[in-house]
Order: sequence, then C-alpha cells, then structure tokens
Amino acid sequence: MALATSKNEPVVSFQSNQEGLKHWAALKWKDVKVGDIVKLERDDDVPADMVLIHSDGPNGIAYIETMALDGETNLKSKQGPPPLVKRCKTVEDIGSCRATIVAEDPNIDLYNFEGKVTVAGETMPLTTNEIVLRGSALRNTSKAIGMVINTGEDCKIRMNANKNPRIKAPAMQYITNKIVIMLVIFVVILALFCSIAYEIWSANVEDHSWYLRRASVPFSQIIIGFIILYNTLVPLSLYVSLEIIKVGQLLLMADVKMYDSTSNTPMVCNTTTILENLGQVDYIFSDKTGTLTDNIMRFRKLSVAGYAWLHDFDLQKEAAEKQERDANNKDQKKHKGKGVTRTRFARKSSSAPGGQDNAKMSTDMKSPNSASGSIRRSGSVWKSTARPSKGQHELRTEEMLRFMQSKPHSIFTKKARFFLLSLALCHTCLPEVQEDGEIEFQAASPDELALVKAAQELGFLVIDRPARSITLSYTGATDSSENISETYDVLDVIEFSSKRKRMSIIVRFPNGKICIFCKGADSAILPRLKLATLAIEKASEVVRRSSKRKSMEAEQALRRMSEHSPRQSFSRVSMSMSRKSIGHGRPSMASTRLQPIRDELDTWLKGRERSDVEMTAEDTSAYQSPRASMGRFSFASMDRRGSGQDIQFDELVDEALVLDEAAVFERCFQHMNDFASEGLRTLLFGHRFLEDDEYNGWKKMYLDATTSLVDRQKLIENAGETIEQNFDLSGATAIEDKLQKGVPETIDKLRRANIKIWMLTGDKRETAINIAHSARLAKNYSDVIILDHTTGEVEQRMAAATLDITKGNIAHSVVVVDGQTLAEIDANETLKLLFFDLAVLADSVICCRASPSQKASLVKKIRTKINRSITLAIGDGANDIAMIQEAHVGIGISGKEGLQAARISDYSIAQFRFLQRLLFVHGRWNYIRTAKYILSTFWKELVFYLLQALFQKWTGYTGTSLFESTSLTVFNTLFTSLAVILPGVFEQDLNASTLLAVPELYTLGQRNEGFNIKKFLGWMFMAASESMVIWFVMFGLFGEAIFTSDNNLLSMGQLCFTSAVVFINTKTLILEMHNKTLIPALGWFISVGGWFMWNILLSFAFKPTSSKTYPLYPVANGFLTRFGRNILWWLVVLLTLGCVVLLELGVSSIRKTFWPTDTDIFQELQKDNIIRRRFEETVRLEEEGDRVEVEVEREKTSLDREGEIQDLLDERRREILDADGEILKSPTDAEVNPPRMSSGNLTRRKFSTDTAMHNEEIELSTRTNPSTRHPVDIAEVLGRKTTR
Amino acid sequence: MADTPGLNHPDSIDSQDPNAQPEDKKAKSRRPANTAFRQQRLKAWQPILTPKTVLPLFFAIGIVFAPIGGGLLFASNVVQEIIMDYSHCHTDAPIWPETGRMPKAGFESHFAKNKSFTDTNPGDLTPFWSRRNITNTTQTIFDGKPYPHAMWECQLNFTIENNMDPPVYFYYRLTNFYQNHRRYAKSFNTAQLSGEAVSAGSVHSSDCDPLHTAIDPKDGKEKPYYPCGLAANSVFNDTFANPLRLGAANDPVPYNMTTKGIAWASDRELYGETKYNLEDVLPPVNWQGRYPDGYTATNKPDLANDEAFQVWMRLAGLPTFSKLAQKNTDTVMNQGSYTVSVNSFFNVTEYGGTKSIIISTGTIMGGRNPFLGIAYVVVGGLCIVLGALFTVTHLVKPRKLGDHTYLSWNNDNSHNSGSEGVLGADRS
Repeated sequence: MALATSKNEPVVSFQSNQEGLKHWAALKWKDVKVGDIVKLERDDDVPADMVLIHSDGPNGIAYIETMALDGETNLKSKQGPPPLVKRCKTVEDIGSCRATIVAEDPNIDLYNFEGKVTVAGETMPLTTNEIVLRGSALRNTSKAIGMVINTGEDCKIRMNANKNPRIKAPAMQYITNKIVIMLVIFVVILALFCSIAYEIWSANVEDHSWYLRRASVPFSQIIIGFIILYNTLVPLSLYVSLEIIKVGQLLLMADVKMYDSTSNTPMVCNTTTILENLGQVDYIFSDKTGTLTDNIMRFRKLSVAGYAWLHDFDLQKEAAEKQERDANNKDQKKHKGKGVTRTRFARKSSSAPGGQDNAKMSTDMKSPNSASGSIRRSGSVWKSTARPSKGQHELRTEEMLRFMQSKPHSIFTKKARFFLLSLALCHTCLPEVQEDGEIEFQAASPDELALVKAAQELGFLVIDRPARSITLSYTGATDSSENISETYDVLDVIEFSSKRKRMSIIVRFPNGKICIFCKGADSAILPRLKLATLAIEKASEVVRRSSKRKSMEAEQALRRMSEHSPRQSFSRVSMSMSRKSIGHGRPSMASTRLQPIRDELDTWLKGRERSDVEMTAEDTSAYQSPRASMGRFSFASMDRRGSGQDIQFDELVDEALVLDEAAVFERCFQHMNDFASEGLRTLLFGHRFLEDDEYNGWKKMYLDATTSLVDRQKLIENAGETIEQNFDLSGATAIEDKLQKGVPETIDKLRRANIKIWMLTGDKRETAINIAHSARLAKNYSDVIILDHTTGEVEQRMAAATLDITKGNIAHSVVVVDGQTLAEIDANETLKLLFFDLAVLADSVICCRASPSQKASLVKKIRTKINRSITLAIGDGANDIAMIQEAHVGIGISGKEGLQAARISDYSIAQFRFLQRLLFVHGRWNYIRTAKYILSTFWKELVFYLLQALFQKWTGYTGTSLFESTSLTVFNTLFTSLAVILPGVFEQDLNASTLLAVPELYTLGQRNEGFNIKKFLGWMFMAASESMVIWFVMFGLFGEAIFTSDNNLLSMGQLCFTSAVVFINTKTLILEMHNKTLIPALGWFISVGGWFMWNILLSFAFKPTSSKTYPLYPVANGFLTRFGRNILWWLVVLLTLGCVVLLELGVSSIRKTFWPTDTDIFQELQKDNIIRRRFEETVRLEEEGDRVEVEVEREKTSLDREGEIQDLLDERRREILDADGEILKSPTDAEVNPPRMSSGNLTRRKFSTDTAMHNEEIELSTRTNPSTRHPVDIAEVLGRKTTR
Repeated sequence: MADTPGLNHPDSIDSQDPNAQPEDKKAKSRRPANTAFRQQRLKAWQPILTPKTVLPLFFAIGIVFAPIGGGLLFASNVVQEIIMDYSHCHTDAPIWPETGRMPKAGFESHFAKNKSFTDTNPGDLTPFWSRRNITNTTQTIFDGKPYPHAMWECQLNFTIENNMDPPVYFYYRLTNFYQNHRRYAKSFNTAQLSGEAVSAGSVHSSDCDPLHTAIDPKDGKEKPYYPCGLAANSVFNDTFANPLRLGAANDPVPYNMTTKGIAWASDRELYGETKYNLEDVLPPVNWQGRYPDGYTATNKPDLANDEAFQVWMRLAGLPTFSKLAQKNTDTVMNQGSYTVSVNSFFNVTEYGGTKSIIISTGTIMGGRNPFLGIAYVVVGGLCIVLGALFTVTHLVKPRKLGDHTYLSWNNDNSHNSGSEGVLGADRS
C-alpha cells in the first residue's frame, strides 16, 4: 500500500536521454527511481529520500519541514555536501558531474544517516544534514535539487511504518467468542444429554411399546437430530446482524456536533468493526503537533526590567471581530482554524503595521475611555489554559507603549526599547513584501515568527533584510508619528541548535557600535549573564519558592484525595452557588423536594470540574518577595482604578526597582517561572556591546570555524561559546503554542473518565513539557519525573518514583521520557519492566523525540502488556500512522498535515475536542448497543430453544420439534431480528448531555460492565426461568386440559411461539430499551403483528391436500379456525405473558432498587428537568468554549449582587432593630437568610415569588445545609476514587 | 451554516469565509444531515422502573388477573364430567355376570350438586365393571409375533348424578402414548390417505417406514400396506357402544351418541376414497384382527368417512391426550345409572399406559380445567402481594431518587483503585 499516494502530482525529475539532451520532466511519484535527479519547488513534498545537491537558499541551505516525519515544528536547514554542490551549480553541471554516492541500507533510523560521497577523488561523509527524507517538505526555499537514494517502501518513513498492520477486532468479540464456544459446548452437552435420555426412555418405554416397534432411532441419528434441533441456540445470525447494527451505528455517528464547519470535515468512520471499542478506551496516545496544538505560536507575555506585560493584541482583535460578527449576524457560527486565522492576519497586518497605524493606535490610547475599555474587556480575553482560574495581573503591552511614549526618557523606557529592539533584531526571519504591500515573514520556526510579529506590533517593524543587514522601521522616540528607518548591519549569526539551545546575532548599530544579541532557553542564557552568580542565586530562589508552592498544592491535592470531608467551606460556598446554577426554574413542590439531591449532585460535579487545586492569586503572592507582591498589588489596584480616571503613569513603574539588578533578576525569573507554569514557552534575551577589537579577534576565529571542513559544527559551537559571555539581561518573552480549541477541557474530561493520556511526540522535551502544562496533562503541582539516559540514573529514578507513587506521596505524577532513553530502556529487560510498572502508575506519560516506530512500539507494549486494556492512538501526521495502526482504536485528525493519518485511521475527526463526543457519547452508546444486542440475541435464542428442550421430556427425547418447521425457520429472521437490531442501533441508555457532563460514566465500558460473563449468565438465568414459565404454564394449563381435541402440537407449539415472540419483542424493545422512541414501538408492532399475519398466511398457504401437510401440525386453517378461535388458547398466552413480564419487571425493579448501577442512578437524575438542564448547560457552555469565562462572569455578578443584597438586608435589619429593639424576632431569620441570599437566581426567585413560597424556600434551604443532610459527601467519595 | 449569508454586510467576516458562500458551496458541504433521526434526537419516552412506577403496574395486573381467574374457575366448575380408567378391565374386572367396583384411583367425577338425586348407594359412586370374553380364537399378529391378549368386552356401570346438558362429549384418554414420537409422527403417507394409489415402490421409500410394504403370502408379491405407517397401524381400536341408561325397570334406554362430526373439516379434507384395487394392498398388521382375510369388497376400510380414524390421525402433542370418540349435541343425558360396553382391543398395559373414558359437558372454554382459573388467581394474587411488599419496603426503607450513595465509584472504589493501578486490571 503506497502511503500518501494522494499526492500524485508530478515531481520534476531530470532525465538525460541518449542524445545527451537534458531537460526537466514531470514524473509521478511512483515513477521516481533511485538515482533520479529531482527538482523541488517551494512547498513541494519530498517524494523520496534523497541527497541534496543544490539549493537556492542562502549559502546553499534548503529549509525542510519535517513535521510529518518526526513532529518537530521548526524548520531544519540542510546543505548538500560542499564538493558536490560546487560541481552542480547548473543543469549542465549536474549532467556532467561524476560522483559516487554510497548510502546505508534502508533502515528505520530517522535521526542518523551514514554514507559517503566521492567526487573527483574527494570523499566526504554523508550525514542527516545532507539528506532530505520523504515525508518532509521544502519551505522558505524557492528551489532545491536532490538525488534519490531510497524510494517507495525503502524510504525511512515507510520503513518506520507498520508493515503488517494487525487486523483489528473489537474487545467485546473476545467475550462473545468465548460465549459462543461455551454455547457450542452447551449445545453438545444438551444434545448428548437428550440422546442418553432417549436411550433410557427407549429402553423403558419404546421397547415395550408395540406401536413403536422397529421405530427406534439409532444413536447417531438421534444425536445429530438433537444437534440440528439445538444448533440455533448458537445464534448464527449473531454475526450477520452484528454487521447490520454496526452499519446502523455508523450511520448514526454522523453527528453534526462532530462536524467542523471551518474545514468542512465531518467525522469519518473507516471501519465498522471496532465501533464498540470507542466505549472502552483506557489509554489514549496522542500526538502533539496538529493534534493537541494548532502549531500557531502567539507572542503572549514579556518581562522587561522587572515588569511583566501581557500582549494580547491578537485576542482583542479576535474578540472585537467576534463581537462585530455576532452583532452583524446572530445566526453566524463561529469560525476558527487556519483559514480564518489567515484572513485575520491579513486584516490585522493591513491595519496594524506601519507608522500611521501606530499613530492611530496611540491616538486610541490617548482617550482614556477607550483605554479603560480595552483594559476591562481584555480582562477576560486571555486565560492560561494551564491555570484558568489564575487571574492575569499583568498590564497590557499597550500600557507599556503608552508609558514609553509619555516618559520617553525614563530608564524603564530605555530598557524596554532596547528589549524591543533586540526582539526585532535577534532572529533569522526574512521579510517579504507581498503584492499588496503587506509584509510577511519567512521564518525557520514559528516561535521566531511570533517574536518578529510581536516586535512589529510593538512598533519595531522589520521591513527588509538584505544579505548582511536588517532594516527596521519604528516611530520616533518622541510623540511624533513620523517613522524612522534604520539599517543595522548583521555581522554574524550563530545559529540555533538543539544542543546550544540559543542563537546569537552580532549587529553593528547605525551609530557604529557592535552589539551581540542572544536569545535562548533560560538554562542556556543564565550562566552567560554578567552577574551569573547573582542571577543563578535568584533563579534558584525562585525555583525554591515555586517548588515550595508546588509541594503545598500537591499536599493539598493529596489531602483532598484522602480526607473525608475535604472542603467543608468550599462545598458550602458552592452549595449556595449551586442553587443559582441548578436551582433555577419555577419552584414547584415536586422540584423542591428534589432540591437536596440536585444540590448535592451539583456540588459534586463542580468539585470534579475543578479538580485542580487552584490557589487564588492572594495565596500565590504570599510566596513572593514582599517587593514583588507590593508591585503586584499596585498593579492590581491599578486595574481596578483604571476604569474611570486617567492612569497614573508614575505609579506604573518604579524607577528604583528598574535599577536594582538583583530585584530585576528576581522578578524576571519569577515572571518566567509564572509564564512557564501557565504553559507558555519562555525565552531569555541577553545582549552585550562589543569593542571592535574584541569582535575582530573573535571574528577571525569564527571565520576559521565556519570554513573548516572537519568538525565544523563543533568549532562553531566553541567559537560561539567564547563570544556569548557576560550578557546583560534584556528581558524575557513567553510564547503561547496555541492549543486547539477545547483541548485542555477535553483532556480534563478524559481524565475524569479514568482514561490515561500519553503524549507521544517527536518534538523537544521542553516543548513537550510546556504543552503538557498548557493542555493540563501536567498540573502545576505535578511531579515531573524526567528519565534521561544522559544522566545515567534512569533505573534509580524509576524505582524511586514507582515507590513514591505506590506509597501515595505524589499527588500527580508525569513521567517524561525521550526516544533515546526509551531505546535504552527497550534494550534492557529489567528497565523495561520497571518502566512499564512506572508508566502504568503515572497519571500521564510524555514521550518526546520519539520516532514513529517507537510510538508504535509503545502503544503495542501497553496493548499487550496491560491485560485487555483498550488503547486509542490519535494523530494527524504521517509519523503517527504506525501508532494509529498499532492501537486498538486509531483516530486520525483530518487536519493540516494532510490526510495520511485520517485515511489510514479507523475514525477521523477534525478536532481533538470531538474526541469527547466520539468516546463519551457515541463510544458509550455503541458499546451499550452492541452489548445489549449480543446479550439479547443470546437470551432470545435460549428462551426460544429451551422450550424445545423442555418439550423433549414429553416426546420421549426423540427429537420431535415443538414448533412447526416453516415458522421455526423464520423465527430469527422475521419475528425477532428487529427485536435485537433496533436496540442495537437506537438505544441510548443516557442522554448525550448527561454523558458529556459526567464523564465518570464512561468507566462503565472500561470495566466491561455492559457485557461480561457475569451479566451474560444473569441473562441466561432469566432466559431459562422465563422459558420454563412459558413451557410449564402452557403444559399445565393447555396440554393437560381437554380442549375439544385441540391437543395437537401445532396449537401447543404456536402458543409457546406466540408467547416467546411477544415476550422477546416486549422485553428487548420495551423493557430493556431505555430510549423508547417511535422506532422500537414500530418494531414491536411489525414483529408481533407480523407473527400473527404469518399465522394467518400459514392457514391459507397450506392446502389440506398438499403433500407437506403434517398431522402433527395441522397447519391448514389452524390459526383461523382452530386455536385462533379458542379463547383458552388466548387466555393461556395472556397468562404466560403476564407471568414472564412480571418476573422480568420484578427482578429488574428489585435490582434497580437495591443494587442500582450508575446508569440507573443517572437515568433517574436526568429525568429531573432541572438536573438535566444543568447537564445541558455544562455541555453547551463548553461547546461554546468559554466555560471558564462565563463561570467567572457569573461569579462576579453574583458577588456584586451579593454585596447589594447584603446592603439591603443590613438596612432591613437596622430598621427592624430601630423599630423594635426588644422583641428581636427577626435576628434568627436574618442570620439564616444572608448566606442563602448569596446567589443571584435564588434571590431573584425570592423577590418574584409570593411570601408563602418565600417561607417555604427558606425552610428548604435550611434543610440543604450540608451537615444535616447526608452523611456521605459525593466529593469525598470521588476523592477516594482518585486515590490509588 | 451556509444558510444565512451576510448579504447586508459585505465586509463582515462571513462574506470572506469560503464556507459561508451559499448556493455554490452548499452542494459540497459534508455537514451531516441535521435531522432529529440522524442526530438521534427523536422524541423519546424514558420511563424508569422505580417503585412508584412498578407498584401500580403490579396492582393493575393483580386486579385484572384475579377476576379473570374467578371467571375461569366458575366456568370450569359448570362443566360436569366423569372419568373412568378401564385399562385393566380385561384382566382385573370380574367376569360377567359378576360385577365389581373398579379401583377408586381410576375414577373421577364432577357433577353439580343435585338435591333431587338420590343414590341407592350413597357415598360411594365408584362404577362397577365386569368383562366378558367375546372370542378367544382369533389372534392378531404384529410383527410376526402372536397377539397375546384375548378379546374382552368390558362393561362399565356408572352413575350420572345430574343431568348433563348437551353437547355431551365422549372421549377416550390415553396416557404414556407417544404419538409425538419423531418417527411415529411422520409415519404415514398423505397421498395414500387422500386416495391415491401409491405404488409399492414409493410407499416403501416413504416415511411409512417401518410399516410400509409386506410380501403378500397369497401371491408372494410385495404390496403396500393401506394405510401404511405406524400411526395408522396403531389406531385406537376399542369400540364404544352407546351408553345405556338403566331404568328402574331394568329396561335400558340408550343415550345415542354419534361419531359424525367428531373430526374437523380440515381433517376430513385429507382423506379420500382409495383408488387402490383391494387385492393390491394389505391391511396394516394391527388391523388384521378386523380384516383377517385382507380387504374384501364387503370388509374394506372407508377412511374418507371414518372420523374416528381421522381424529386418531390428528396426532396429539403430548403423551397424555384425550380424543373425541363420539358426541351428542342435542339430547340431555339425564341423571341415573348407565352402562357402557367397550370392546377392549387396544393394549395399553404392555407399554405402561392407561386408557380412560371421559364423558363431559362442554363450555366455550372447552372441558373442565380448574387450573387455568387457579393460575390466574394465583398470579393476580402474587402481583398484589408483591406490590404490597414493595410498598412496605418502599415505606420502610425508601431509596431516594438518584441516591448517590449507590454510585459505583462510591462503593467499590477502594477495591477498584487497588486493582486498577497494577498491571492487568481485572476487567471481568
């Protein structure tokens, strides 16, 4: 199977024909051969593994995006082997060039390549740096030429693929097959039993019966006869109808709520085989890029001179646009995703860049009202997904710009300007002027792009970047709106590498000064600061503080898990809130009676929904140094006061603090720590001015390094090391790797559903951990256990961590492992055991830098190692294919990286958040449906065929059939197929909203509660009893009585048949089906009516003289004239039905009363309108994506209202006290009332209803006091659950 | 989504969105059909089995069933019947003219109370029986072995305690007779019964096995039995005379019963005048007592009109069955002593069965059957008792709607967390 054959677009290949004429020809991918010369244009996908021999990029560099290959987001620069590149400058050169390339055998290693190239006697090694692999794409380079070394299945990406994808089978099938085997054995035993019984009967009766002489049946015939008679007990139709119900389920999965309107992609099912597995997932293996994230980087925060600022221009714009759109068109649905984002970018850049727009912005800022407006609005615009409840205290960057404008000469302004300058200079992006005058950037990594764009938005626009300089445009330092263009000479660029973790650029300022700017990870920059010791000291202080806070939070989380009444006060608070959220609606007697339950449920759900231990901002500040907290406080107060008056700029920045290096360090690191805990990706910036001499001396060394042919990389690194020293701290930035919509919420819910989530990515460890934080895979207080082979103590770490977790010392643990460590672990049997023990215990596992085959093998290990757990792999790129194929359920995100994953997957969805609906709703339903289908199929067969078996006792075990043969043959197809198919397609045991609001319900499938041997035996027991009831009622009442000779087998058989058909349909379509729509009703009438129609038909169809007539079954006119007219026959049918229905109802109501399942309880709960509305509300809010905001909003308003009410009440109390100081009849009321009044809705209700209701309400609300209600608290109960 | 294009706002975002373009894009939209059916939002009724909903149902069933049961009991009580087991008459009964009481176990009668009835022998109404050897020369042969039993005529004297209103049915009941035996039940030839002259060859290969054809000793030819098969061979061949009412003057008055109309119309349609030449067929083994010289012009079977045979051939479903032998649909069977004589040919003792005579009146419900009424009463009563029990439980220990203490992640959590954490969480 060819991968990615969708891309059948021709590639341009170079062919030299016999005549020596050389030209480029377009070829299909499939025609590319080893040794072909292939020319790639910008954005082309690479069709085969090849050696780069030419590129149009600077210095012959070609930028390659390998996202689909290994998941890494930044572009990789590749360069052909210099001797070869030298000789292949033109097409003619290539044709005449003679070179020998030796390449390694095809293998799966994506990160290494061994080979050599010999050109004109000169030999050079080939490494990954010269190789472009299939699956990657050419970016930011207009043209590249390469020579193919591996094609087709030999390509590394295909070598990584799963060659023999296993055939997926549903987990339920395992039990089903076991049951089928059990039934086969049962049938054989039954047949054997009957045969032996026949032999005995034969000896006792038959041999003495003169009328049966010579009529005895040989043993072989009798046993075969019985096996034929009972074989249908093993429902052959099971597998056939299973396919039907699965097709039905598949059709019903076309959920409009899993349709992404932006990309016009619905959910697509590629297989029906494993639909029910969706309801049983225990492990999710998720790719990162494109699955969890959008791979869009947004500049979010910066810290300069000890002050942090929030940058949310983009969000404000989006919010404004959204508002505008909503206002314009109420029906308009929201658009998200790439296409629209692009439009927004375009619009923004058309309005934002350049001086005049800046001027506009600044005029905006001058009017206080609009500014305050923006402050207010932006208050809820950005929330960290990692810590949604954490308030954002930083001021916006607009404020910073305004401050800078108003105080251009302050030290802060200077520092900030310099920092912005370094943002604009320290990068390798190339600006490109589009036809419409807009400037777009070509960047090696989306991070850089975000930085440059931010610089642009903050006033420093890179307008040009010729080979050796950068031209910037910015507004003057003074108020003037005139733009200044300056050109900075770029002297050197020391590139980023994953080892160095930093990049530097050396520029000459227009005024001749030379400066080196460096940006990189804090660990890379910190030791290179001028005041490194101080910096490190401060940094470690910050780390200590944050770890202290973390351990506090972790402790709190642990306490919450183990304690019995965890948050008395909290539950009290939420109780009052719950009244508001759940208790709206008209208070009727019935609904008020249920109020305690509603409240309790609401409290519990709230507890679950906010499972994170979130400290309030005040708490956090306690761990900060007093200065910082003071500063914070002043910001906070600023925020509040900002609403009306002019902002006092003087208060914004404390100049003294700006000058205090130590404080700046401390605060900067604190900010970085905060940013990181919010899941942002941080970068530290440093700079240093160089003396000309120093630079020149270094330059020589660097030139030597860059031109060296041996160890070039290492020499460059060393050279970089010498110059990148003694930096001044410029500032820090935080970039948000934008998660896809709803990802953190989805992950939260998946966790609530007891699903473990593993993130497997090819990306760097830091990035992976960052994303884990922002996606809430890792919590702020999580113990992150990093397994790194380079530290050499993997084993000890694993052992220690395992011990800690089992002891219960760790609130939340995240294991981080990288591909190389994993390879090492894989090689060692003990390590392997340890690792899987740990991985299973950990709350989540993050695997970074993992190759596709490693991803797949991890999935496989879990699949095989953990008994009967269901794994789900979700990914979007070609690098996820192996994993998707390996997992029980493979989900493809039909997103940006093409359709490879979506094509190969079992199910494809457009957004990660659809996973919720796919698993919780459709997965659950499919699971329940299939389970019910299988159970009821087995059940109905047993009910029916046991009648046959029972009858055998009265026919001497000779194998005579109780039922008339034509009816018997169509029993399964005509009269009871709908009875099992309809529940199998249409059953919904709980509403979609309930399932989404309470993901805990999903555990049903994980625990195999829908269908297991116990349940099967239960059903079989019921079947046996019901069969006996039917038979003995018939036998005792109909068979033994004198019914004017109507004692033949037909009327008896049809009586049993009728009872069975009616009862089977009644039970499966009415009693068992919870969601009784018109469809099952119709099914019931068709099946039961069809049975009677059938009988009438039979009466006519059998001509009395036809040779088929059988005196044992006098079918002709049987129903019409004989038993159909016999009132006793009908009475017995009625009685049997009454008995079995009664039995069924009695048993199930006793079970539901005394041993209710979660499903039963929630079926009851969702019957309550108010509770149902609460569920629906939760789901709706989340679908709209602003659950948090709305909640915050709500709380805010309720707080406001609370204040007002309190005032009102106080007033009233005062009046009462004034009026009648002695009687004081109201104080009790007054004391009871105020806390109850805390909710807005309750209050509203109180004011709107009459006084009688009012009193009753109060009475009821006193009853809702948690301490007096139920001894057990749900929250506590659930807390216990999460403890392990 | 493409339904409302922003016509009035050409610069709003939707006009730039490719998905918002109406008409031309509409066809390409892959959005699933948003119908209640496809989106599984059909209106549904979701009742829940709570005590509240089940209790009324229980009571309702009880209230419906109990009266039906009462009615049935009443209807059954109206039926008058007398059952006499005469299986052992040919061995145990005193030889006529002596008479003796038959064993009590074989007798059962249900009559409405009748004040005008005075019995000569109050308290014991057990019928008398006696037997009379009618011939001891003829022997029937079955399967080559001599039929070991002598022919006996059995006389049963019984008392009808109350007038039996027509229709009065006369049944014979056999027990432990397996007409539903797999091979017995198949052992006949429809074509032959409907009158066709089925050749020896096809009878031989038919279901009639093992009684299909035999070599006629007269001419050594293989001839089919007519009617062939086990079922026809074993036809119930006891003959019942009309009951005689023994008058005060010992002047017996016959109560005339007929065999006409005892078979169903659908039965009759199966049989026809045979087209066989009488010499081409043999009577079944067991019929040779009746046709000792084979079929002759004067002594030949007339299956088309032999309703007793037709009734027999409508095979019973259970080993205990009653078949209508004769009936009287218009005269009252007055109270008094009756005698009925039976030619006892049919051997039931060999296979451990019994044969009885049942004389019964009928209702629309059929014969006497008190159990159905009892069953209805019992089920109805059970419902009410269960309902009451549930009510009591509900009152004593009520379970609140959706009581969370029953949630599974509540109860078996400790258990769960233990097993789930470790490898191989037990899933069944």
